[in-house]
Amino acid sequence: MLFSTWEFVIFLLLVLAGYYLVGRWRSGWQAGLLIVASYFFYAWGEPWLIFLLLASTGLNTAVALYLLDHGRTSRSRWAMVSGAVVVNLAILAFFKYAGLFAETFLSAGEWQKWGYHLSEIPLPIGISFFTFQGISLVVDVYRAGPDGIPGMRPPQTAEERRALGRNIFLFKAFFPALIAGPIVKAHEFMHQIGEKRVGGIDWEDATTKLVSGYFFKMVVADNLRDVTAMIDYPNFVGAPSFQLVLLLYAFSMQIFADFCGYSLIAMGLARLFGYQLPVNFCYPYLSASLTEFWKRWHISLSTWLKQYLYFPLGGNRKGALRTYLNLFVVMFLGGLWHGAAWSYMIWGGVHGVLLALERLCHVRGEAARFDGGFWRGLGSALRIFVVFSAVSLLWLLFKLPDFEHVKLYLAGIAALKPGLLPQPTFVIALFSLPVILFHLYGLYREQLWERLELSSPVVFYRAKMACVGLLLFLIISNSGMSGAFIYFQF
Amino acid sequence: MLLSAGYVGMVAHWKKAASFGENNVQANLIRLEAYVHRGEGEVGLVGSSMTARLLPGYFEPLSVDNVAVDGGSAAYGLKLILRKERLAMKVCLIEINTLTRPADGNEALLDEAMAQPQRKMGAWFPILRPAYRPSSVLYSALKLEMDLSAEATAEGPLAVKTPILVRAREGVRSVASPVSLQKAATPEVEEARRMIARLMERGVKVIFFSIPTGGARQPSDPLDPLANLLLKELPGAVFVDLASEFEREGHTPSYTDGIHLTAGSAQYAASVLEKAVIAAGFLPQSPQ
Repeated sequence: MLFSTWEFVIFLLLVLAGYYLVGRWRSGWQAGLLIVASYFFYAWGEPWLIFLLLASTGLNTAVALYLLDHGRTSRSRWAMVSGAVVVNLAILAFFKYAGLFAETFLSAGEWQKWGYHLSEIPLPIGISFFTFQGISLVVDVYRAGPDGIPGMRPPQTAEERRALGRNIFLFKAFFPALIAGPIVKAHEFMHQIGEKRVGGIDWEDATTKLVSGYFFKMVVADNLRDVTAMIDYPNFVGAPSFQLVLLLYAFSMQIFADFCGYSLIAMGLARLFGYQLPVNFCYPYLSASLTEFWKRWHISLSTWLKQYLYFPLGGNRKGALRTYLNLFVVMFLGGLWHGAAWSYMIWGGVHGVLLALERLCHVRGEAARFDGGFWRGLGSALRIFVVFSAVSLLWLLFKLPDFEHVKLYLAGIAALKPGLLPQPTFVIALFSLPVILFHLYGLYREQLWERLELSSPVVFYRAKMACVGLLLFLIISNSGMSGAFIYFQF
Repeated sequence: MLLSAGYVGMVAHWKKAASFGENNVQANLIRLEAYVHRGEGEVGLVGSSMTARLLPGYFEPLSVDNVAVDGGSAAYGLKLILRKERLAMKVCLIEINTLTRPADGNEALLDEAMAQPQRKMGAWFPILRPAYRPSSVLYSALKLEMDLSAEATAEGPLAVKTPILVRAREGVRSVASPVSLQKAATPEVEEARRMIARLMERGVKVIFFSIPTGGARQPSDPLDPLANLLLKELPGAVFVDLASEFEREGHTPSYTDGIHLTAGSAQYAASVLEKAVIAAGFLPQSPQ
């Protein structure tokens, strides 16, 4: 079910009303209702998928309960958590990479026998996200020891055990974050589960996030999508070179608006149910280095990779060479996480190499500054532009999974064919503007907006609500054709 | 609510509702939504993006609904017209240039877009109409402004001076060879012919027209056999060759991108068609 459909609006209103009504009688039922609603949400369109989610959740729940048992030895706990991580990854690998494996390694005879069937296995929506959440659950509990983590203390009675199991099911299936994140870690979510009241809803925050999220998705991303379809082969062939460059920038804007929009909607929805999801984007296109970019883009994935992969590999504690290698491995696997295609691996690998190079050149992930005079400001702006251009160029591997098409696209840019198509250029300029303004706001929010909040809270509140009203007006009047979120495919 | 009402009032007051969309889908929705929910013109216009340039305002005092589809052909417009239970339309102008174009995914996309609840709600709330989309209003105003200012320097407004040459069934027998007629009869044309016949059964007069497309006309151009075929099989229909009309008047059509007519040429083409409607005796001449 898409967040931007009428079915979802009806679903949300019904679940929200039911959620706070059952909360009047018994708080435990709220979690139960959310689980049922989340499974319904997940099964919409593809009912068989709930069996996969059930299996994944059942496995992780059983392992988490085992790890919380004081009677277990450290050796058996280690074996259990390792086994759980391997099984989680194996499920992900089967659905996501079996096709790529078959295409790459099977002989023609074997391919005909069963390789084709492997390549036809459909990718269950959201599997990458709920698998990573499952791994975070068992690893967090394992790392915390038998005393557990906040919200996951060892159960003393059968009832507590049932309640804990129910809470884990909610953590894994919570529908606002189920399909495309943010990837919630167990230690960030479990302690939030409990009784919720209508009076506890932060309406202002929820409304702001929902309206800005829907604006980014429906007005910016969906309108830009009509133009960035030109990047698909063979639509771009013969287009002027500068148009091809502009299209790359437009895709950067689109993918940001699409994914940041989704994350904001997820956060706003979670707020309505009394939960807080982690921030996923922090003005990523203001980054003056790739190191900084990865601190600002898809933060829940970056921190997941850091906590559950980079640190266990040794992080930066085992010498310079090992650090570079770790960076490369993490980014390469991060690329692979996005999908079963060589282009994703190369995308991740190139980011890994560039991160290692930045580290080698002592480029720190510090934010650009514009308060040190004209030349320093100009230098910062140039660095931001270079990083944005590099990131945009690498998104091409996301958009065109076939290398021949990537080469053709780059050759089109290098051909320096003059001209500009007025219609797509108008769309790119108009619908990229909100993303640019949003980032400018990120740059000056402390000087302008937050100062206003302190000095004149009433004026600040009215200005904020006026902005929300304007965005709502544009959502109603200027949405593009509804389409799936880009990150659903991952 | 206030913002929406104020905006709609402003756009309506200054007659700035969009005629063009910033992409194909929006451009199509502007025309199709207007026809499905408010179309009550006495003349209908169906065709591709080339015909889409012939804005209803260019035909005044005739009231015209333009149901042309960017990236499509006259077939989709005909389907929409036939779906209407009550037809106000008395004459239908049908572009034949793209009549052989097979249906593609564009039509399914349009069907889906037209079925959305906000399309129906647009009948009561203008803010939901594609023609009131702020980005389309801006794009349309800029485009019209740029087209007209570019032409104002090139040539003044064109006027139709000579009578329009309207070809009817009687003129076909002598020029159409059986082989060329056979070649023109593709499945798409056959489907269109069936729809046009149904339209004519409902009392709508039909004028086929070919629109100039930028390239020079070749002797092997399939438009003539196609026109002949349609005239032969649909008695009562007539045909106007716009390219020849431009030529007879000594005008050269100008294009925005080598294919689509500029605003000035589109206005001229519209006035030729307007005269053709009257010349064929389909509508009485309006008092000037």
